[in-house]
Amino acid sequence: MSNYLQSLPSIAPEIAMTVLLCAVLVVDLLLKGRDSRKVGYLTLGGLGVVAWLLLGQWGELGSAGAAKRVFGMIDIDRFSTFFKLFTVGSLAAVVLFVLLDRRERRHGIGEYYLLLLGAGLGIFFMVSTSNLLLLMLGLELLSLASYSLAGFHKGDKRSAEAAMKYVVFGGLSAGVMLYGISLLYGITGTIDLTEMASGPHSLAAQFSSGPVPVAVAIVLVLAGFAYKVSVVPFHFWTPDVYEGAPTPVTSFLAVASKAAGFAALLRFVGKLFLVDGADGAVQQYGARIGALLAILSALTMTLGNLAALRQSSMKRMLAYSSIAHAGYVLMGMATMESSGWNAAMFYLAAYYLMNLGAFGFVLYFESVTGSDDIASLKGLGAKALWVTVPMVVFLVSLTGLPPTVGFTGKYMLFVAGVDNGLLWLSLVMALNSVVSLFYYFRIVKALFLAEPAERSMPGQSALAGSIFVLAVLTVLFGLYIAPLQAWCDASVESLRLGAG
Amino acid sequence: MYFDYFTVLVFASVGLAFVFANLLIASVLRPQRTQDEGLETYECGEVTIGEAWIQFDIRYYTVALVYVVFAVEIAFLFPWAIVLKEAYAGTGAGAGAGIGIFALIEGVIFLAVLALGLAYVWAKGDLDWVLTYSAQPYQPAGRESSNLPLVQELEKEQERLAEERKKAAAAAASSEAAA
Repeated sequence: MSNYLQSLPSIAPEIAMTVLLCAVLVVDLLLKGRDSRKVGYLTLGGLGVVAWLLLGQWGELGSAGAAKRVFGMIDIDRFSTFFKLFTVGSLAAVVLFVLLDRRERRHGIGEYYLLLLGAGLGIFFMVSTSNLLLLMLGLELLSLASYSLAGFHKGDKRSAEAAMKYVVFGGLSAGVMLYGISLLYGITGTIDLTEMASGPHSLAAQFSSGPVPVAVAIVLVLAGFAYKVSVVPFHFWTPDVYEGAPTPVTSFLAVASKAAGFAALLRFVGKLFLVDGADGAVQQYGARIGALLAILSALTMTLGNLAALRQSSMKRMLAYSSIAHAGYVLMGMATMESSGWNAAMFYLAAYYLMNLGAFGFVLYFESVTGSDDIASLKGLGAKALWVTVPMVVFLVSLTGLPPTVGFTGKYMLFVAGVDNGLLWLSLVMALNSVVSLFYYFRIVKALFLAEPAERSMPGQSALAGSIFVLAVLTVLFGLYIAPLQAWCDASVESLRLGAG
Repeated sequence: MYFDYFTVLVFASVGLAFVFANLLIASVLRPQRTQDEGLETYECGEVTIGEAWIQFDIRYYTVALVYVVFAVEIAFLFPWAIVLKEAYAGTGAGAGAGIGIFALIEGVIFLAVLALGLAYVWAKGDLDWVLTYSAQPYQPAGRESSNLPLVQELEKEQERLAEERKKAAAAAASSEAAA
């Protein structure tokens, strides 16, 4: 009992998030749906408190060995805190986007913030547990909130279609993943990843006796994750959902939700196969998983980039580009070595920054021109330099050119691939980057190389300001990489050592 | 190596055999009557009206969701109550002492969150089955794109063009009349 009470401070961010969620609901009810902006401001303030708690936790965790396990299910380590911090950051950005979305109604949208917070809470639990049941719960909390968010404009046919497609695909893949988890439970007798890796009926012991059920179970669970992060055979929902969903929601799905999927995937594979002092069978099996991830990675980045070439809608193009980026992150994972995983973490952090910025830009233009067509950008580059120049920075970063954080991340991935015998994959990535240059720069071309348009660009300065800040961060972390790299190293280290 | 799963196989085959054996026995024993009443969907005599593939009122789903909230509540509260009782009934000094009040607080928080859900449904008017005329009419929540500056600009432009066309047509008509 005193144990329980002592553990509570460790999950203070989660508790704060829950309280904030309830407070948002109550305030929205008290306002009777009028002036939902106030709810948005409350959400922003609350997220600030959660971020403050998380920063305290990060400092408190100190060395990587100081990880804690709460209630036997929740792992509080630097790895989870890293992703929680980025989640809170991107949630705050998304809330800002909602507040500044000129096409959004002003009244009766308090649920928007409520659902965003619910999804964030799901992410919090998803990224910080080794318990497959809690992982599934977190994933479902995130998914259910995301479905409703995707269909938030229920009068808009494309939004409703996005929600419908998302629900059907999501339900199917959740079922597949649950089946895999139940097989894992049947094989090892536990739903805890740490015990699965080292318990009496550990997976390692089962590899030698019966590899087939283990392989089936793990592939099924991986399929569930692959859906969440839109890796190639499970990517079909991505373009339609990203295009139909309201733009702030798209930025949430593309950034926070996808990174959370990766966090859970990293923990799942890491706890099972990236263990210090693992015996031969585990390493051999881990190498096979690595090979599988490498193939998926090559397929994902190639298909994502090739499909993005022909898109005329910016949101659709960014959807395919986010599929390609999932491939890049997978490449870091496929090395099955700490250096590759550090690079994957770094790339995810970079992905947060540059993609949020890019979607902010889409939102800015949508709220001026009413469309996200690349053609509608023609000649507008010089009209709003405060947004278009940051957008060029994001595009440069997404392509992976210096001096941006995207370049640093890609460079680290490339080196990790070459160092760990994945030279072919590194080359595939380099070729893919060249392909991506073409479609990213179609936007730049439309903005700056066309005849200057006669229209004015009366956008929102607050939105332009936040986009500008993101661009500054993108360049800053590209030039001064030491702190971000140190955070990534500490996170992966804490994942390796675990909470015992 | 898969011997551990043998019990599963036995369980599955016995289960299947049980089902089909019962169906077989029933088909042998039951009287064979094929009058029209026997072929009705509801043999109790209720006459069916139409098909089941119709549009249901969306409010059924709301009610079903609210029902789920309370079903979950009950399902959770029973084991909670048992634990609470045991925690209080703990014998000797300190046995289970303390967890009782902790569990009570947790339970109250759980109920409060659920009550919040009920309050939300209530405030949003989803508990009123018959909507009054004072209730807000349904407005599809679309995107308000007509507020955007460029859209307004374009609309103005189109209006101007339409007017010009009208003027041109009028001018042409008048020149024709003059000719």
